[in-house]
Parts: sequence; C-alpha cells; structure tokens
Amino acid sequence: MSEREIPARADQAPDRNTAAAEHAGTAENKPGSPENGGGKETPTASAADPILVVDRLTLSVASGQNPVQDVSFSLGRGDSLGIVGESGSGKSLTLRAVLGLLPSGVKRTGGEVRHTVRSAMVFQDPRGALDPLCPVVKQVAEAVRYRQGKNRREARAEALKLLGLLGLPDSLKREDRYPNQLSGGQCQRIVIALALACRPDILLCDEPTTALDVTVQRQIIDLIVRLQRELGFALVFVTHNLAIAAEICTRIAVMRQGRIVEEGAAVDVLVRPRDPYTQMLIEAVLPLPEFASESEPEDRTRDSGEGGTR
Amino acid sequence: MSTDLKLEKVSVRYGTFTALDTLDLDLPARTTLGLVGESGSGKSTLARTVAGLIVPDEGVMRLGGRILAKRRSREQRKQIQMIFQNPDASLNPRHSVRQILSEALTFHRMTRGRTDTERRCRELLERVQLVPGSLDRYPHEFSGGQRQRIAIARALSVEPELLIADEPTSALDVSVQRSVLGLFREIQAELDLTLLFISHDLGVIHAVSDNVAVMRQGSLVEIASRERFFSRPETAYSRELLAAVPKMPAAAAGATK
Repeated sequence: MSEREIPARADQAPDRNTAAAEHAGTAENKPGSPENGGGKETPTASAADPILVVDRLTLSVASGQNPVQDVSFSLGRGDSLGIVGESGSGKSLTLRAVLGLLPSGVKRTGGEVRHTVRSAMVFQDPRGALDPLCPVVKQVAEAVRYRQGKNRREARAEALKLLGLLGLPDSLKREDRYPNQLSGGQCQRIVIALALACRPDILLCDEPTTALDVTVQRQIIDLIVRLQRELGFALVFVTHNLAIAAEICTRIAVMRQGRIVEEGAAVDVLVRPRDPYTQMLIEAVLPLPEFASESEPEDRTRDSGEGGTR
Repeated sequence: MSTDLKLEKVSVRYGTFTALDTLDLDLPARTTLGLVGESGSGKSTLARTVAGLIVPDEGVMRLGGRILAKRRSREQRKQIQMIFQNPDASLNPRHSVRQILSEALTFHRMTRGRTDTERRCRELLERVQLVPGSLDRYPHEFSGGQRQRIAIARALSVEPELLIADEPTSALDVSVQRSVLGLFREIQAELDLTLLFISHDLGVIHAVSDNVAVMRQGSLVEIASRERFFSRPETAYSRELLAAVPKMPAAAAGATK
C-alpha cells in the first residue's frame, strides 16, 4: 500500500494515477478499515447502480486531525457531481482518495472507496502536470500506448485524434511542441487529452479552470460539458466557484472543514440552500448585471456547448 | 490628498515583444479604475510601469501634473504604493509585522520617535481589522487573507496618493475575498484614494470600480463608467469577456436576490 502514498511526479501523473486507481480498486476486496459492516447509513445515492461509492471516508494526518471526515457520496454512470468548498475543506483530498493517490502523511483511517472502473484526473495547474522536457503529442501518445496497449504508430494516430477532439491546432500533427510553447488553455487541453487517453469511466477534475483566464475558462468548461455528453463518462468536478459547479454538474456537494455540509441536485442546493455556509458561497459569486446587447445569457449555461466564445 | 494620473503614449517592450503599445490613460483623482484583461494583456506591466518598477521605452507619465521620470524622488516613491497578488512573496518572512510596518514608516520619515511609530503601527492594524497583538508575529503565522491585510496596511502606512492593487484578491478564498474587498471599499471611502485596481475577475471589478478599462495585447480597447460597461459594453471583446463569466442558473439567481 505504501506506493500509493507517494505522490506521483506530476509530469507523469495522469498515466500513473489510473494505474494507482485501478490498484486501489482491486485492493478494495480486502478492506482493512475498522468501520465496515452493519449499521452504516447508505450514502445518498441518486443512481441505482453506482460505479463509484465513497462510504464514510475519513482521512487522518499524523497530528490526529481529520482533514476529511465521514464523507459519503456515490456516482452513477454518466453522473456529474460538483464538490464545492474553500481551501482546506478537504475536497482535493477526497478526490485523491478516490484515485488512491493520497499525499504522504495522509492516511485513510475509516470508511472506504469502492469502484470497479477506470478513473483519470485533470489537475489544476496544467503546466505542472505536463513533462516540460517531452513534446506534448509524444506525451499523449505515450499515455495511449500504455493505457490502451497499442503500438507506437496506432498510439500516435489515436493521440492526434484525441487532440483534434479537444480542439487543439492541426499544426501539432506536423510539428510537435513542448508545453512551454503552448498557452495555459492549450496545456489544459493536453492534460484533459492525457486523462481521456486512459478511457476513463470517471473523470476527476481538481479545479481545472482556476488557473485560467475567464474566456479560456469558458472554453474549457464548454469542452468538458461537450466531452461528457459525447463520451458519457461520469464526472467529479472540484471547484471553489459555485457558479461553475452549477453550470457543469447536476448534483452538488458542499464541503466545509472535511465534511459534506449539504448535498443535492444543483438547482435545489442553489435555490434552497439549507446550510448558512452554502448561502455564503452563493453570495460569494459576485453578481454582475445583465448586459443588454446580447440574447439571454442563461441559454449559454448547459446546452450551448461550444457556442459563442470560440 | 489624492492626485490624478496621466499616461501619454507609454510603450514598454520586452525584447521584440510589445507589452504596452502607445497607451494613453487618464485616471482622475479620487476615483477607482478597474483594469481587466486576460493574462498577457499587459495589465501588470502597466501597474509596474506606473509604480516605477519598469522604465517605459517611450511616453510620459504624470502624477498630479508632475512628471514621473526614470529616477524618482523619495516623495514620488512614497506617493505611489502597490499591493501584489501574492502576499506571501511580498512580505519578508524574517520580519515581524512590527518591522514590516515600521520600516516603511521610518524610511519615509512618517513618524517621530519609537513611540510614535508604535502608535501608528497599532492604528494601521486596527484600520485593516487585525488585533494589535499581531505586531510581534511573523507572516507565516497569519492566513492568506490576513497577510494581504498586512500588505494593505504597509501600503497605507505612508499615506500614498495613488494605490495600485494588482490582483489583490485572486489568491484568496471566496469568503476571504469578500472581506478584503469590503476593506478596500472602506479604505476608498475613508482616505479618498486614487486607486488602480487590476483583476481578471469581472465580479471583483464590478464590486470596487468607478470606471472600467479593458486591456488587450498592450492597448486599451475600452474605457467606460462601471454602469455603462456592465450594461452596454461597446466592443465585441468586452462582450466576450462578460459572456464568459460563469453565472448562476437563472432559477437560482432569481431566488437569491
């Protein structure tokens, strides 16, 4: 189990992560957790046949604190769950626990994570998640080759197909580029391509748009929504911005100090927040007046997909 | 005690790359200009040029009618203060809050004697809503929001006329961001500062600005009053920026109003 606690070098992350995740998945058959057995409450599930169940997950650090405590949720095929909270609320750790990639010093001390499918992760800082010394097409092809068991030629073709799907420039086909030659938004697309190369059933996104400009953020959000519709993976989207979660996800869980304080359908959580903390997060999305010269901005939210800003 | 800032045909080049392209800007006294734009648009270059950290290749800058030259007098350096995005990097980790604040005060000879400095430090901490006991603590003992408050206190300590805030809330959590923005509004109202507020977050800009300027590739593409900019943006680029902001779904937005 120790190898799971060593954080993988970020540049190889998506590839290794899924390896770790699958490892975690198989390890679940013999859970060593004490809090297992009768009397546990069923996690608030929306899907009949969940592909991911996080059941009363508790993570501890050496000093005895619990950065994540009794967190339960489940995810069905094609679901999208937004985990919203501020820094230190345990949202990223929860995501890493799902992947089986906890940072050193953090241990699972209770509950369990059950899943039988592949998962892959998209990280907040795209430049940090890529190998700066390896051209990007090569990186994606490498992930395809190992994850999908293809030969070099097929892997490269598949990688280029993925990059096309993500709206990266065609010039990459002729001339491979290094991450530092691409913009932040393009790097994030490469990271998403790396994650998709693993053919994930669950895509875990850890604040993938936080480091990006608003217009680029909009493109990445639209991209993730479109890809989810086309490829049908389930999505766990971690963010501190409730508005982004509301646009992407059908369900929202609000985390505070390691616990889920509120969970429900996105609209319910936003319209009828039960917890004052949720209310605070809603108010923290600073309001902008509607501007007149374009049609209803609301129709951009979920259904417009790739519209407008490109 | 606030003065207007004028930029005439200011250009900054990094090698062959033009970061500021013959830019004209007029910032009237006691107003807040919110400067938006994507990364690489030249926002921070503009801020650093005004602050004197970058020498422009061409153009003239005037503060209150007096030219801001390459070499600035101590007085001019005092007049313009800046708050940076990352408070961790802008506070010396080996200095206590007392040292951080009193260094600026003594350098610009704002106070007479140690007791006066001490009194002023306490006043400043109170102004940014930190407890006076914080004076003997070090930056790492504070949260990100508190550190940004210390940076604000330091900038205010020398009674500047122009305050430049370069993405002061971008590194902060949403709830902390709100309280820091609240502090900015109080300071503005109280001290009558001229404020150049840079952010890529249009919500933040809307919360603090009187006027909004949009930058793109080293030029100003639009400058308008806040109401006008947010209700009737003139350029397509501004509309694109506004449309890109994630919004609450209509139902929820209506319910929370």
